[in-house]
Amino acid sequence: MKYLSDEIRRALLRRDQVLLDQLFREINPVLCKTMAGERLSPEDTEELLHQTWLTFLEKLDSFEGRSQIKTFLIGILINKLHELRRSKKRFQSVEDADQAFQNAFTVDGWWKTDPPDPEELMSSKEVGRWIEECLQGLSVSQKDAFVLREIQGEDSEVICKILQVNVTHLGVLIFRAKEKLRKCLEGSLGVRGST
Amino acid sequence: MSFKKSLRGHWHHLYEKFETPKTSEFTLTCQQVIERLNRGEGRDLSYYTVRLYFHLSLCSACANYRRFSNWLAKVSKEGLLDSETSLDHEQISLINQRLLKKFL
Repeated sequence: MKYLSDEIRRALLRRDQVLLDQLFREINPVLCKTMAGERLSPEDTEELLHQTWLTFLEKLDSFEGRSQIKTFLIGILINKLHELRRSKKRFQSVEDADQAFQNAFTVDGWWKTDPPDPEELMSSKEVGRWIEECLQGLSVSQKDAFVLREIQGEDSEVICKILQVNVTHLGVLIFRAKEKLRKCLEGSLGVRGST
Repeated sequence: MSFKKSLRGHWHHLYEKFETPKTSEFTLTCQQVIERLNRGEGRDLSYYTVRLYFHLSLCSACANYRRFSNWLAKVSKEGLLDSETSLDHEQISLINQRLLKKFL
Protein backbone atom coordinates (compact mmCIF):
# COMPACT_ATOMS: atom_id res chain seq x y z
CA MET A 1 0.00 0.00 0.00
CA LYS A 2 1.95 2.99 -1.22
CA TYR A 3 -0.36 5.57 -2.71
CA LEU A 4 -3.57 7.02 -1.35
CA SER A 5 -6.47 5.74 -3.44
CA ASP A 6 -10.03 7.00 -2.95
CA GLU A 7 -10.88 3.73 -1.27
CA ILE A 8 -8.03 4.09 1.26
CA ARG A 9 -8.91 7.73 1.83
CA ARG A 10 -12.49 6.83 2.65
CA ALA A 11 -11.32 4.03 4.95
CA LEU A 12 -9.02 6.42 6.77
CA LEU A 13 -11.75 9.02 7.16
CA ARG A 14 -13.91 6.47 8.91
CA ARG A 15 -10.82 5.37 10.95
CA ASP A 16 -10.80 1.81 9.66
CA GLN A 17 -9.02 -0.22 12.35
CA VAL A 18 -7.48 -2.86 10.07
CA LEU A 19 -6.12 -0.24 7.70
CA LEU A 20 -4.72 1.98 10.44
CA ASP A 21 -3.09 -1.01 12.09
CA GLN A 22 -1.50 -2.02 8.79
CA LEU A 23 -0.23 1.53 8.12
CA PHE A 24 1.20 1.87 11.63
CA ARG A 25 3.04 -1.42 11.27
CA GLU A 26 4.41 -0.50 7.84
CA ILE A 27 5.29 3.13 8.36
CA ASN A 28 6.05 3.71 12.05
CA PRO A 29 9.36 1.79 11.96
CA VAL A 30 10.40 4.10 9.09
CA LEU A 31 9.34 7.18 11.04
CA CYS A 32 11.26 5.94 14.08
CA LYS A 33 14.36 5.53 11.91
CA THR A 34 13.92 9.14 10.77
CA MET A 35 14.04 10.19 14.42
CA ALA A 36 17.16 8.11 15.07
CA GLY A 37 19.92 10.26 16.50
CA GLU A 38 17.52 12.86 17.91
CA ARG A 39 18.02 11.49 21.42
CA LEU A 40 14.31 11.57 22.09
CA SER A 41 12.81 9.73 25.01
CA PRO A 42 10.35 6.93 24.15
CA GLU A 43 7.56 9.22 25.38
CA ASP A 44 8.64 12.07 23.09
CA THR A 45 8.98 9.65 20.18
CA GLU A 46 5.46 8.39 20.77
CA GLU A 47 4.12 11.92 21.07
CA LEU A 48 5.76 12.93 17.78
CA LEU A 49 4.33 9.85 16.07
CA HIS A 50 0.91 10.72 17.44
CA GLN A 51 1.16 14.34 16.26
CA THR A 52 2.38 13.22 12.83
CA TRP A 53 -0.51 10.83 12.26
CA LEU A 54 -2.96 13.35 13.66
CA THR A 55 -1.80 15.97 11.15
CA PHE A 56 -1.89 13.38 8.36
CA LEU A 57 -5.48 12.44 9.14
CA GLU A 58 -6.49 16.07 9.46
CA LYS A 59 -4.91 16.92 6.12
CA LEU A 60 -6.25 13.93 4.23
CA ASP A 61 -8.42 16.14 2.06
CA SER A 62 -5.48 18.27 0.94
CA PHE A 63 -3.27 15.25 0.18
CA GLU A 64 -3.61 14.68 -3.54
CA GLY A 65 -2.02 11.26 -3.48
CA ARG A 66 0.74 12.02 -5.97
CA SER A 67 3.45 11.05 -3.52
CA GLN A 68 3.59 7.95 -1.37
CA ILE A 69 1.78 7.94 1.96
CA LYS A 70 5.13 7.23 3.63
CA THR A 71 6.76 10.25 1.96
CA PHE A 72 3.89 12.50 3.04
CA LEU A 73 4.21 11.28 6.62
CA ILE A 74 7.99 11.72 6.68
CA GLY A 75 7.44 15.29 5.45
CA ILE A 76 5.03 15.97 8.30
CA LEU A 77 7.40 14.39 10.82
CA ILE A 78 10.34 16.47 9.57
CA ASN A 79 8.27 19.61 10.10
CA LYS A 80 7.42 18.49 13.61
CA LEU A 81 11.12 17.84 14.29
CA HIS A 82 11.94 21.30 12.93
CA GLU A 83 9.53 22.86 15.40
CA LEU A 84 11.16 20.88 18.17
CA ARG A 85 14.69 21.83 17.15
CA ARG A 86 13.78 25.45 16.55
CA SER A 87 13.14 25.69 20.24
CA LYS A 88 16.70 24.43 20.74
CA LYS A 89 18.06 27.03 18.31
CA ARG A 90 20.17 24.74 16.17
CA PHE A 91 19.92 26.24 12.72
CA GLN A 92 22.33 26.91 9.88
CA SER A 93 21.27 28.41 6.60
CA VAL A 94 21.61 26.53 3.34
CA GLU A 95 23.69 29.45 2.03
CA ASP A 96 26.39 28.88 4.68
CA ALA A 97 26.66 25.23 3.70
CA ASP A 98 26.70 26.11 0.00
CA GLN A 99 29.65 28.44 0.50
CA ALA A 100 31.52 25.81 2.51
CA PHE A 101 31.10 23.29 -0.31
CA GLN A 102 32.45 25.75 -2.88
CA ASN A 103 35.39 26.49 -0.58
CA ALA A 104 36.45 22.84 -0.57
CA PHE A 105 37.33 23.02 -4.29
CA THR A 106 39.43 25.21 -6.55
CA VAL A 107 37.74 27.26 -9.26
CA ASP A 108 38.60 24.44 -11.67
CA GLY A 109 36.72 21.93 -9.53
CA TRP A 110 39.67 20.07 -7.94
CA TRP A 111 40.09 19.42 -4.24
CA LYS A 112 41.95 22.19 -2.43
CA THR A 113 43.03 19.64 0.18
CA ASP A 114 42.59 15.97 -0.61
CA PRO A 115 40.41 14.00 1.80
CA PRO A 116 42.67 11.80 3.94
CA ASP A 117 42.79 8.04 3.60
CA PRO A 118 40.04 6.93 5.99
CA GLU A 119 41.82 3.67 6.85
CA GLU A 120 42.70 4.65 10.43
CA LEU A 121 39.20 5.79 11.23
CA MET A 122 37.65 2.77 9.59
CA SER A 123 39.74 0.34 11.57
CA SER A 124 38.41 1.61 14.90
CA LYS A 125 35.80 -0.57 16.53
CA GLU A 126 34.54 2.19 18.85
CA VAL A 127 33.30 4.54 16.19
CA GLY A 128 29.69 3.38 16.18
CA ARG A 129 29.02 4.81 19.61
CA TRP A 130 30.41 8.23 18.64
CA ILE A 131 28.10 8.65 15.68
CA GLU A 132 25.07 9.67 17.72
CA GLU A 133 27.15 12.24 19.60
CA CYS A 134 28.64 13.66 16.40
CA LEU A 135 25.24 13.90 14.72
CA GLN A 136 24.25 16.47 17.35
CA GLY A 137 26.81 18.86 15.84
CA LEU A 138 25.05 18.97 12.48
CA SER A 139 22.61 21.67 11.52
CA VAL A 140 18.96 20.73 11.19
CA SER A 141 18.95 20.52 7.41
CA GLN A 142 22.29 18.65 7.25
CA LYS A 143 21.06 16.10 9.74
CA ASP A 144 17.76 15.59 7.94
CA ALA A 145 19.47 15.19 4.60
CA PHE A 146 22.04 12.75 6.03
CA VAL A 147 19.48 10.60 7.88
CA LEU A 148 17.10 10.45 4.94
CA ARG A 149 19.86 9.56 2.50
CA GLU A 150 22.13 7.30 4.53
CA ILE A 151 19.88 5.80 7.19
CA GLN A 152 16.62 5.65 5.26
CA GLY A 153 18.19 5.21 1.83
CA GLU A 154 15.62 7.49 0.20
CA ASP A 155 16.06 8.75 -3.38
CA SER A 156 17.16 12.32 -4.04
CA GLU A 157 13.80 13.17 -5.58
CA VAL A 158 11.92 12.10 -2.45
CA ILE A 159 14.34 13.86 -0.09
CA CYS A 160 14.16 17.09 -2.10
CA LYS A 161 10.37 16.98 -1.90
CA ILE A 162 10.42 16.38 1.86
CA LEU A 163 13.06 18.98 2.67
CA GLN A 164 11.92 21.41 -0.02
CA VAL A 165 15.40 21.93 -1.42
CA ASN A 166 16.74 21.48 -4.92
CA VAL A 167 19.06 18.65 -5.86
CA THR A 168 22.18 20.86 -5.81
CA HIS A 169 21.48 22.00 -2.27
CA LEU A 170 20.83 18.44 -1.22
CA GLY A 171 24.29 17.41 -2.46
CA VAL A 172 25.82 20.34 -0.59
CA LEU A 173 24.00 19.50 2.64
CA ILE A 174 25.16 15.89 2.52
CA PHE A 175 28.72 16.95 1.72
CA ARG A 176 28.81 19.27 4.73
CA ALA A 177 27.22 16.67 6.97
CA LYS A 178 29.88 14.10 6.05
CA GLU A 179 32.71 16.57 6.47
CA LYS A 180 31.49 17.58 9.91
CA LEU A 181 31.02 13.96 10.93
CA ARG A 182 34.49 13.04 9.71
CA LYS A 183 36.08 15.86 11.69
CA CYS A 184 34.04 15.04 14.76
CA LEU A 185 34.88 11.33 14.56
CA GLU A 186 38.56 12.05 14.05
CA GLY A 187 38.47 14.34 17.07
CA SER A 188 36.57 11.82 19.17
CA LEU A 189 39.03 9.08 18.43
CA GLY A 190 42.11 11.25 18.68
CA VAL A 191 42.89 10.59 15.03
CA ARG A 192 44.59 13.37 13.22
CA GLY A 193 43.71 13.49 9.54
CA SER A 194 46.37 14.58 7.10
CA THR A 195 44.45 17.78 6.24
CA MET B 1 52.64 0.91 -3.62
CA SER B 2 50.32 -0.83 -6.04
CA PHE B 3 50.13 0.24 -9.65
CA LYS B 4 46.54 1.37 -9.10
CA LYS B 5 47.51 3.54 -6.12
CA SER B 6 50.50 4.92 -7.95
CA LEU B 7 48.36 5.82 -10.96
CA ARG B 8 45.76 7.43 -8.72
CA GLY B 9 48.45 9.58 -7.15
CA HIS B 10 49.42 10.99 -10.54
CA TRP B 11 45.91 11.38 -11.89
CA HIS B 12 45.49 15.11 -11.39
CA HIS B 13 48.92 15.77 -12.82
CA LEU B 14 48.20 13.62 -15.89
CA TYR B 15 44.77 15.13 -16.34
CA GLU B 16 46.03 18.67 -16.25
CA LYS B 17 48.85 17.82 -18.63
CA PHE B 18 46.70 16.11 -21.21
CA GLU B 19 43.49 18.08 -20.85
CA THR B 20 42.05 18.90 -24.25
CA PRO B 21 38.54 19.94 -25.28
CA LYS B 22 37.94 16.31 -26.25
CA THR B 23 39.15 14.72 -22.99
CA SER B 24 37.36 17.30 -20.86
CA GLU B 25 34.11 16.25 -22.51
CA PHE B 26 34.53 12.84 -20.95
CA THR B 27 36.29 13.54 -17.67
CA LEU B 28 34.63 15.01 -14.60
CA THR B 29 36.22 17.29 -12.03
CA CYS B 30 36.43 16.22 -8.38
CA GLN B 31 33.68 18.68 -7.50
CA GLN B 32 31.35 17.22 -10.12
CA VAL B 33 32.11 13.70 -8.92
CA ILE B 34 31.43 14.53 -5.27
CA GLU B 35 28.21 16.36 -6.15
CA ARG B 36 26.97 13.29 -8.00
CA LEU B 37 28.04 10.86 -5.29
CA ASN B 38 26.23 12.89 -2.64
CA ARG B 39 23.08 12.93 -4.72
CA GLY B 40 23.20 9.14 -4.78
CA GLU B 41 23.96 8.98 -8.48
CA GLY B 42 26.19 6.35 -10.02
CA ARG B 43 23.92 3.41 -9.35
CA ASP B 44 22.70 2.96 -12.92
CA LEU B 45 24.50 2.03 -16.10
CA SER B 46 24.38 5.41 -17.79
CA TYR B 47 27.16 7.09 -19.74
CA TYR B 48 27.49 9.47 -16.80
CA THR B 49 28.19 6.57 -14.44
CA VAL B 50 31.00 5.38 -16.70
CA ARG B 51 32.54 8.84 -16.50
CA LEU B 52 32.05 8.84 -12.72
CA TYR B 53 33.77 5.51 -12.22
CA PHE B 54 36.55 6.40 -14.65
CA HIS B 55 37.36 9.37 -12.41
CA LEU B 56 37.03 7.31 -9.22
CA SER B 57 39.32 4.62 -10.57
CA LEU B 58 42.06 7.18 -11.13
CA CYS B 59 41.66 9.78 -8.39
CA SER B 60 42.83 8.77 -4.92
CA ALA B 61 41.21 11.80 -3.25
CA CYS B 62 37.73 11.05 -4.58
CA ALA B 63 38.22 7.31 -4.03
CA ASN B 64 39.04 8.08 -0.37
CA TYR B 65 35.97 10.26 -0.12
CA ARG B 66 33.77 7.52 -1.56
CA ARG B 67 35.22 4.86 0.74
CA PHE B 68 34.67 7.11 3.73
CA SER B 69 31.09 7.88 2.64
CA ASN B 70 30.19 4.22 2.23
CA TRP B 71 31.74 3.36 5.58
CA LEU B 72 30.03 6.32 7.30
CA ALA B 73 26.64 5.24 5.98
CA LYS B 74 27.21 1.72 7.30
CA VAL B 75 28.41 2.67 10.79
CA SER B 76 25.76 5.38 11.12
CA LYS B 77 23.02 2.92 10.35
CA GLU B 78 24.42 0.36 12.77
CA GLY B 79 25.33 2.93 15.44
CA LEU B 80 21.98 4.71 15.45
CA LEU B 81 19.85 1.62 15.31
CA ASP B 82 21.80 0.11 18.20
CA SER B 83 21.80 3.27 20.29
CA GLU B 84 20.16 3.44 23.69
CA THR B 85 17.50 5.89 22.50
CA SER B 86 16.40 3.90 19.46
CA LEU B 87 13.26 1.84 19.86
CA ASP B 88 13.19 -1.87 19.18
CA HIS B 89 10.49 -3.77 17.32
CA GLU B 90 8.59 -4.61 20.50
CA GLN B 91 8.51 -1.01 21.74
CA ILE B 92 7.25 0.22 18.36
CA SER B 93 4.60 -2.47 18.41
CA LEU B 94 3.37 -1.26 21.82
CA ILE B 95 3.29 2.34 20.59
CA ASN B 96 1.27 1.21 17.57
CA GLN B 97 -1.29 -0.38 19.84
CA ARG B 98 -1.63 2.75 21.95
CA LEU B 99 -1.89 4.95 18.85
CA LEU B 100 -4.59 2.71 17.47
CA LYS B 101 -6.62 3.22 20.64
CA LYS B 102 -6.19 6.99 20.40
CA PHE B 103 -7.40 7.16 16.82
CA LEU B 104 -10.39 4.83 17.03
